[in-house]
Order: sequence, then C-alpha cells, then structure tokens
Amino acid sequence: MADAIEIRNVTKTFPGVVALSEVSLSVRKGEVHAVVGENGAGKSTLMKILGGVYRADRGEILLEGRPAHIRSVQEAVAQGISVIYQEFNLMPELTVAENLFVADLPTVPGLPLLRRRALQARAEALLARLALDLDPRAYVKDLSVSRRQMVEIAKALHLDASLLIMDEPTAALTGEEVDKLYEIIRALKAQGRTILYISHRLKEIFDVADRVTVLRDGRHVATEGIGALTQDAVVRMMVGREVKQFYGQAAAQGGEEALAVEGLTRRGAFRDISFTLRKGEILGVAGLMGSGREELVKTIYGLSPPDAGALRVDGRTVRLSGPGDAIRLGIGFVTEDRKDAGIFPLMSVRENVTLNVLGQIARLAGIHLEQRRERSLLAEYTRFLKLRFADEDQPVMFLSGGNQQKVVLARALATRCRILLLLEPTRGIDVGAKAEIYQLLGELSRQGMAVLVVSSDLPELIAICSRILVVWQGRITGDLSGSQIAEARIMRCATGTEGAAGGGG
Amino acid sequence: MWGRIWEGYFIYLVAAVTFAAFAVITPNLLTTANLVNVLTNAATVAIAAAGMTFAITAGGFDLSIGSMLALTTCVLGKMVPHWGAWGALGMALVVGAVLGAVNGLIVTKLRIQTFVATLSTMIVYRGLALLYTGGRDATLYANLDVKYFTAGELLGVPFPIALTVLVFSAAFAAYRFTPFGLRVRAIGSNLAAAQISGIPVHATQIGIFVLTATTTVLSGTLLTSQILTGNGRVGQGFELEVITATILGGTSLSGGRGNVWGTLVATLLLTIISNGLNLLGLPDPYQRLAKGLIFIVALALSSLVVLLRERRA
Repeated sequence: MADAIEIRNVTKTFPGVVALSEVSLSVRKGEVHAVVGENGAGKSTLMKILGGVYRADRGEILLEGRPAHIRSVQEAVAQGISVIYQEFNLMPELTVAENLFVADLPTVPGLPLLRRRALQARAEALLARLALDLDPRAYVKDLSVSRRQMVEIAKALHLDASLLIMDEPTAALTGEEVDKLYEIIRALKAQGRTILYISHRLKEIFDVADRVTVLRDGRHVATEGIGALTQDAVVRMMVGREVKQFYGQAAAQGGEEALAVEGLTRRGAFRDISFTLRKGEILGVAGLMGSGREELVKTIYGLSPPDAGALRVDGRTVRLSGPGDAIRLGIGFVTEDRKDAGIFPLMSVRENVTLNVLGQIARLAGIHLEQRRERSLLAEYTRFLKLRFADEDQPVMFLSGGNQQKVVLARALATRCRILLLLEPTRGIDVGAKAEIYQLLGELSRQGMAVLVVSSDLPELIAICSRILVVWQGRITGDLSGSQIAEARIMRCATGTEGAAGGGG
Repeated sequence: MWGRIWEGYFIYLVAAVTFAAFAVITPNLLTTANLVNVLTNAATVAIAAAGMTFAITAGGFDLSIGSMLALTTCVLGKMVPHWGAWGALGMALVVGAVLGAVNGLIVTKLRIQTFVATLSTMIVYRGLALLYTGGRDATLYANLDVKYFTAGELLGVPFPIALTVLVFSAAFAAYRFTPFGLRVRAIGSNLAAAQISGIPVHATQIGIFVLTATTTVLSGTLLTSQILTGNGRVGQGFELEVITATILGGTSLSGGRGNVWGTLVATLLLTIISNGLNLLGLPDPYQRLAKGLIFIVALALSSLVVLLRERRA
C-alpha cells in the first residue's frame, strides 16, 4: 500500500533563512504521525507547504503514490488535506456555524443566495457528530479560548479530509478537552484517516502518536516508532545536545514576606483570595482556563482595580492605581500574551529592554538619553539571560519566541523588581529556551526574588515550584506544598472536586 | 447579548430622540414638503454610504469616492447631450466599475493598504475629472431629461427616495443573505484567517471596491441632476461625510461588523440635524460645531455599553 504522504527532498528558503533543507518523510496511511522540533526547526513551514499556504522551492510531494501539486489552500482541501493551525484562524465577528462553513457555504442552486437554515443544520450535525457542546449561533468572539480551539478543530474536520494536520492543537485546551481531542483522534484513526500531529508537549506525543519525526534546523533528524523512544531521547534529538537538569533546581522554601494578599475580590473574576508570597520562593498558581488566575495576577499588578481586599508589599498596605505604582513598589510582570501585549515588535532589542527604565537612564530632566548606560544595561541582561540577537538595533520581531520571551523578562527585571509575576512564562517557546528560563527562575529565587508563576503546564509548575495554589472558579481550592504536590491532586482541586467547600487559603 | 443589541440599535434611539427634539423646537420640520426635502438631501450621501458600509465592514476604506463623485458629474455633463440621461448613466456606471476595480487591484495585487491606496487614487481620480472637463463646467441646462433623477417619480415616490430604498434593500440582502456579505464580514474580522480558510479574498476585495464605486456613481447621478453641471471640483470632503455616517450607523471601524440600516438611519440623522439647524436659522459654523459634538456623544454612547459590560465581566 502506498504511503498517505511522501515528502521527497523538500527545500524552502525565505530571505536570509533556510526553513527546510532537503527534508524527506513518509507518513503511513491511518497512522498518527507526530512531528516535533524546536521553534524554527521547520515544522510550521512544512505544514504550510502541505496545506497550500507556501510553495516549496524544490522537492516533491506524493499523495498515495501520485505526485501532487498543492498551489493553494483550495487545492490542498480538494486533495483531502486539512490543517488546524496553531494561531487562531477564526473570524471572531462570525458565528460558529459561519466560521465552520465559510469556505463552503450552502447556496440556492444557481443563485448567490445563502441557505441559512441549511448552514445551521449542517453545523448542528457536525457538532453533534463530534460530541461538541457548542451553540452554532454563538459569535466566536464571545467564546472562551478553549472553546474557540474546539471550533477550530471542528472546522478542519468538516472538510472530510483524509489527511489532517494538527499544529499544536492543545495549546489552549484544558485537561478534559485534551482527552476529548484524543478521543476524536482515535475515532478518526479508526476511520482510516491519517493524522500529522505537531506539539511541543512530549507527553501528548507519547499519548497519541504511532511514529515520531524529529526536525532540527530545517533538517530531518529521525523518524522512529514511538515504542523505540523515550522522552529524553526525543529531547536529545530535538536539541542536538544533552539537556542537563531540564527544570533547574527546585526553589528554596522562602524567607520573609514579600507580598501578601488579603481577601482580594474582583466581581466576576475571583473572590476572597488570600495568600502570602515570600522572598526567594517560587509560588505556582494552577487552574483551568477561565478560573480567574490571570485576572488575579493582573489585579495584583494594578492592571484592573479590585472590588475588595487589600494588598501588602514588604509589610505595608498599598493601593495601586496602575502598573506604574506596581513597578515603583518593585513588582515586575511578564504577560502571557507575548505577541500582542509583551513585545514592541518593530522596536529594537535595546529599546524593548530599557523601555521601563528610560526615566532612570535619562539625563537633563529626561531629555538626553544616555546611550552608554542603556547599552550597559542591555549587556548586563544579555549575559544574565543568555539573550541571543544579531545586533541591539535589530527589531525584536525577528527574534525567536524564546528570545522574545527573554526580552520581555529582561524588561521586567531592568526595573530592579523584587517581586516577579509571570503568566505562562514558557508558552510557545522551544525546549532549549524553556530549560534556560527554568534555570533563570531558580537563580533569581536563590538571589531572593519572590516569584509567582501562573502556568497551564502542570509538569512545569510541579518541577519548579515549592508551593502551588490551585484556583477554581475564582477561589483558592488548594494550597499545596512538599509531598502534596502531585498532578492528580492539583487536577482535583482545579476542577472543584477537592477543596471547594472549605475555601482554603 | 444586550451589548450586541445595543450596539446594533442605539443609533435608532439617538435618531428618534434627535428627531423628536427637533420636531418640538422647529414647527416646520414635520411638514410633508420638508420631510421629502430631508429624504432627498440625504439620498446622495446615503447611497454612497451603503457601499461604504461594505468597505468598512471588510476592515478597509474607500477615500476615492469624493473624486469619483466629481468624475461622475463630469461624465454625465459631457455624455448626457449625446446619449441621453440613461445612456450616460450606463457609461458612468462602466467608468465607476473600472475605477473601483483599479482600486481593488492596487489593494490586492500591489498589497497596499486600502487607506493609502484610495488616498492616492483620490488624487488621481480628481485629476482625471479636471482633465476630462478641462477645468470648465459642463452644463446641462438644456438637457432637462436629467432632471428626472431629482424631480421624477418612480412608482409614485420621488426618484431619489425610491432609489435609496432600492439600494439599501439590495445592500441589506447582499449583506445578510449572500456568500459575498458573509465573506466581507469574514475578511474584516480576520484577514489572515479568511485567507487560510480558502475564501476568495482578492475577488471579494475587488468586488467591494466596485460596489463602493457603483453606489458613488448613483449618488453622483442624483447630484448632477440637482446642480445640472459636470464639475471636477465638487464632492471634496464627500468621502468623510459618507464614512462619518457609516461609522455613526454602527459599522465597526475595526472590521467584521456592519450595520446597513444603521448607515441609512445615521445619514438621516445627520441630514435632520442640518435641516433642523437650518430651520432654526443657525449659521453654518454653529451647525458644524453641533454636528461634531453630536457625533462624539453618539460614539461615546455606543462604547459606554461596552465599557459597562467589561466592568461587569
């Protein structure tokens, strides 16, 4: 039997970068084939070539043994290839039903007239078939991130594709929804469909994949059966070197109080939250999407006002009227939304790092910016964070995700903060950069920094934190430390099956 | 839920309140003659705004319509004597479609943002209009059949009003009931996603510019019929009047959400304000101040609900 897809010597270059170099790969019919690699390894480029978004410079693609020409998204779809992209490719101002069928709208034969009822019925049928509890009439902009992701998956599935490409499909899903996705994948496999599965999360790959292909720097490294591999082996192949101490040293127990939150409440987001963050401690906050954990941290940073409760920094009760106050009190913040709220894409690396402290490095009442001091500040953080860039005037948008994240972190640290609030500090960055950020957080905590980390990546939280708070529906349902920290226990608290009655704290 | 309804309908409320206020303080407003006058005056802006609603819903603009309006008066001014009113209108529509397609091609093939692309063609088309008439007025005082477009009646209704109703009914149908309308919303909502979803983005964008040009030619025809002159200098600032009405009507500048009937109501609102202030004898500078202030208040009201909702969420 011919392979579902055979890729032969595909090369793709962009100005200044070789994204794919002579990559060959074959995917068997009916298998779940994982493609892994660090950011910039070429996974997304390969998927976009298969999906008809890019065209390869050289090389061949064979579908079921026959040479295929995929010159546009429409041609890819016509040949049974459907892609679920990593970025959200939904139209928020359209309803779920309209999003699902936007490329394939039912019309009155011979007339440019929509059949709205048919559209509705088709959407209902599709959602029912996938057992997704979504209202086809709802506007996508009113849905939560994880529900949008389910719409995205449904959109790709309706096309009845024989080859489905999933690019980081679980990035925004909750544990339960990931399980649902696994079920869908198994059902698709049972129908004889082929799935290319791209993920940063190695655990998932070992959960669902039959075979794994590793890409590194645009080259094919290996394709192996999952049974022949271990997670460590995959990481080694992705990084090309031994990653020692992936998670870094577990943080210390913490010293005196740095930040205390008492009865903090913001209507509709969280209520009656109390906890203490100590110097040198890495405190984790776990919880599902929509549990209120991000809002909590943003309120502590002064981005939105609380309705009730108090905040104590270094023993003094404070009122924040904005992030400026937080920064002056020594609170640093790293957003989860790097692309839209973290970096200033067109500004240089130097400007991105020094932006928050321009007042301190300016002379003559803020008129004269002293470049020497700006440079020395940048040099300090470049060393400390192992920041990699071509030159300091390079726009930050050209850096890899991991380096962009370090730039955002450097900007927070440049304010000489003593309390660091981090939202999803390793989201969407590659394994190597992740390891470096873990090491760095360990180092900061040893220097006495009080660190608060919100993350959806439970193994990450468990490994780097000495204590974890779990939030469910805006309340703390677990305050776990030491041997209490275990994935199953956290999930019980995060879903409200434990700790919901007492409130905890 | 309520936010969405408010965003869609608040303009009706604003219009109703304003209308009621003017009806009370200016006794002549409610005469049939004056109301027909208001509707007729509103028609020129309203019809072009119907097309603009699609451009803004798709996340773009068409700034060149003021120049196209002038060019339309010139084409009619030159052609009506030879081909009659309807024949000349047909030619103007062809010219408009070509200019609209040129806008669309510049945006899609040269990948220039709609704002800059149509800013450039705004200048070019104005130049064409002046060049075509040699800078002189092409008068139509002797060709009174063109008067039909203002003074004539269609099914017993004054032609401008009938045309407005027809254009808006067609625009609403296109917006709500055709794949084109859905694609326009899709493109305005998320251009990259629309491309990746396999929507014919370029064809749709070109279609939008042909549409704004076509509605502008219809507006230009009404205008020509009123001034009986082809003049390359008319319609300066017309594009802003039209965009103002469209945004005031509830079409979102950030794209994805249009409001066809809202555009019509907003145009009527703006015309009633002018008309009411005229009847009150308020000089033009004050009228401008009043219009600007009402615009700000209306937009503040529309975002008030969004603010309240965020506060609650």
